[in-house]
Amino acid sequence: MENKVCVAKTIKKMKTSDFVLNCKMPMGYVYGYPVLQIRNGSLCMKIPFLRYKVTGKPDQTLVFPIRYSVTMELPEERFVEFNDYAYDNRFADVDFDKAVGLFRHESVKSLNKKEYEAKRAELFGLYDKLAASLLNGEEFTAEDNAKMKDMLQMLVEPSLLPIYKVLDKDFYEKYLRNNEV
Amino acid sequence: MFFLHDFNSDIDNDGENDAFIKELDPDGDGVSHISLIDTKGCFYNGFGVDLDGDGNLDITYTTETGLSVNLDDSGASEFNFIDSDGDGKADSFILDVNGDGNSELELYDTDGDGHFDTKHFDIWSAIDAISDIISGDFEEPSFVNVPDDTADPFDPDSYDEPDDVITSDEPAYNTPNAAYYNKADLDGDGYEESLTVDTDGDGNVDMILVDTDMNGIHDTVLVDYDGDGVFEFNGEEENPDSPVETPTETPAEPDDDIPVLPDEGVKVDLDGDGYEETEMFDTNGDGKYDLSFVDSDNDGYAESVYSDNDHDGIYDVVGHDYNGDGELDEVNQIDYSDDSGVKSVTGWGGKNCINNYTGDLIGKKDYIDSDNDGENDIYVHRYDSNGDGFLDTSEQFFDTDGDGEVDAVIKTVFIDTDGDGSYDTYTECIDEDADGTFDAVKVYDYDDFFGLGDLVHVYQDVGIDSNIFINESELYNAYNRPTFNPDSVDPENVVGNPEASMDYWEFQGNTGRCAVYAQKFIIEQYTGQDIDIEDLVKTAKSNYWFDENQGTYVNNGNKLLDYYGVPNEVSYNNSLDDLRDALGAGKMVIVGVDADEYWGQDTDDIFSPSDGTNHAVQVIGIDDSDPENPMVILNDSGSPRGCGELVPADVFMDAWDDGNNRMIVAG
Repeated sequence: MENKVCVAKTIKKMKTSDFVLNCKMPMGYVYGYPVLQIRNGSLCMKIPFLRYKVTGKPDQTLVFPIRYSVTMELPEERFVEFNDYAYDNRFADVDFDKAVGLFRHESVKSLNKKEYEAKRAELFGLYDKLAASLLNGEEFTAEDNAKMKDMLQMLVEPSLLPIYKVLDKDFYEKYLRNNEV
Repeated sequence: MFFLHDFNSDIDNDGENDAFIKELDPDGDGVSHISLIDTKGCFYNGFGVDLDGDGNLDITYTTETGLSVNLDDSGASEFNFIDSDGDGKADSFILDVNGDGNSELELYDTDGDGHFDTKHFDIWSAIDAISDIISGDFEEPSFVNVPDDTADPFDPDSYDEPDDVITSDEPAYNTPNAAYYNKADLDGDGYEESLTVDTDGDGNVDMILVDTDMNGIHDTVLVDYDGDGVFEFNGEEENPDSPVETPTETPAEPDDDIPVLPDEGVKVDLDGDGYEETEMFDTNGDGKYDLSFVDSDNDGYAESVYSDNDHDGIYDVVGHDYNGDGELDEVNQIDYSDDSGVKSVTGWGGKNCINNYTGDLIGKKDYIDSDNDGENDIYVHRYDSNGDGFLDTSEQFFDTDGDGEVDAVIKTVFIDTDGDGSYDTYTECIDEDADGTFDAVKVYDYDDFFGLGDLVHVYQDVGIDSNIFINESELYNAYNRPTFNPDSVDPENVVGNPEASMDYWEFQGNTGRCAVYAQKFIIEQYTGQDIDIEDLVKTAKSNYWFDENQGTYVNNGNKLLDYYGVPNEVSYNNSLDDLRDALGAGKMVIVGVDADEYWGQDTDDIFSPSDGTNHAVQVIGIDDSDPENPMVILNDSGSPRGCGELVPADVFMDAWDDGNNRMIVAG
């Protein structure tokens, strides 16, 4: 039987799952772009959670640090881990109540809400394709990989990159690090 | 001994405060002779001595800059001993004989054995700041500033050794004194007779060497001294096929574009002090003065010169003679390079300063050879990011391995976080691997007078205070949703009893208590009791259902209802009809929404990159007066206009969907 992953649907379901609700993340924390990982041969997806605050001014939506993450095994969608980074030594100097950046950042400044959501959907499609490749051996070409890298670098808020680097250095190096800088 | 005063100081006269100085007056005569210097902001790491009591430090030493002597108070040290590696031995010696800011002699101890082994002589320092002689062996100099037959015709430093020239148009900051040149066939005859040179790396050609007779040897040179695009010097080699002798004086054969000034111009006293300090010339005879010399200190010698090169009535070149030696130390030109109004400025004289048209410094670039290996490894760009005239931002690019690639970046920024006009925060953002992501951010307190203060944050903080952008009056003006007026609708078209529920609405203010208030409205309406919000908050906190900073945990949104005995049921994935059914049955409803979607803020250009619930509200009715456009009626504690707030159903559904249509039906 084919293992089919749809990241967008998985995330939507996950938001109100008992596991996530019982993690007691406060209202207002929303998901960020997930990190795909191979852990002991299993495909896992780590979903970060953070806050945004719309200030009513264009391009000044506040971006707060990633505070939590939930990891699930795919394709089973079985929760395997919850992290509150307020209790992680690596984040000892992080003030989670203080914004670290602004949205829209430079690379998405020209996108309105619909266009941004379309890009996000497109990126989630690439996540699905990559998951299918890792689970079922389906094709994920070098072009797909390059596109995923480009889209992640476009959509992930630059102010969050240091945290992504901490969350998963391999994923960061592969998809988020901008080698042209 | 008593201290005269403490003050910030600009030691190197570059317009930036770079030290905190405590002056000492050992003999109590009211004149300080010794100053303690603090460039680190935390301890004294240098001293200065004013030998002649004129208020200018004649000798300064800091651990960063080494020993400098500036006896003539010109601002440029006559000589510097620099111990760059802190081993107690000077490993470079810089001599600027004429105080023009360009060194004539540089000695380096490249191998750290305590002996100078490399020297640079720049005979033409007033013109090109390029070493003419380089010797790698101090004991046995091998230079000869004489070309041989195999010499590269363009080798201004040494005809024995080719210069480290870059053929690319891109400035290579790891090469000191490099000239950027390109071969060109300017006359289009198929032979590249010209070498166009950008001696100062500013992107503009300021020298062209021409091989007019196409014999492989350049015999003509054009020089644009002031970078205005006009070549003032057009020189021809007298004996192009012979070795070039070391020039003994600056060639100054004028071309026709340089005006020959009369002995005297028109003198005027523009500052009204009785002395005619300004002397003006009309260089092109059009009746307008386009060249002015200003003797601001009335000593008979002009310190500044203003030139209107394009004769448009606006001076666009300004020169200064800082040390009064009759030679211009700095010339800044404004080049209106395009029609956008952007003004670019080129500096000349090795200072690499960038000024706007009023002469205010808006940026500065420095190439630094920190390890004295002959290659620049640090490029510092300081600029004024907000146009207030203060170089508040600097970017330092490091090439630690000398491969010409940036290996690390540090960006520092002064920030005025409270908007009082004074910088109060200094941030240092460190990208240790030059991947474009800051790996460490340090935030310091800063005071204009005392300089750097305590380290406030480490690793991560970009100094953005979430409250900076929140102006309450502006924020609440954005909440412009209309409100329900029961007198204007037919009750038959309204589901629920919004008028009754509106009596219980309250505004939560700038708090995260939305879920507490939503439950309060229902508890009070259900029980008939007035309950103090603080009691509810206290109960919620003590049971860990709510936190003042974080708000209410999503699955605790009904705990207060339970506590006060209000029956309720939680469900997800509900529809608008489910809402109608609950309201129609006389129930009271709380939903989780993304409030930004309907508070008028979540417009096409103002939105959050993710979707999720950030607010809890009570739904008190649905107005179906226009069946095609039903309106959902809310008791929204988060808006000052939230009593009976009207939201179009389709907008409401988008907001509700972000929380998977969660609904608490109570009563």
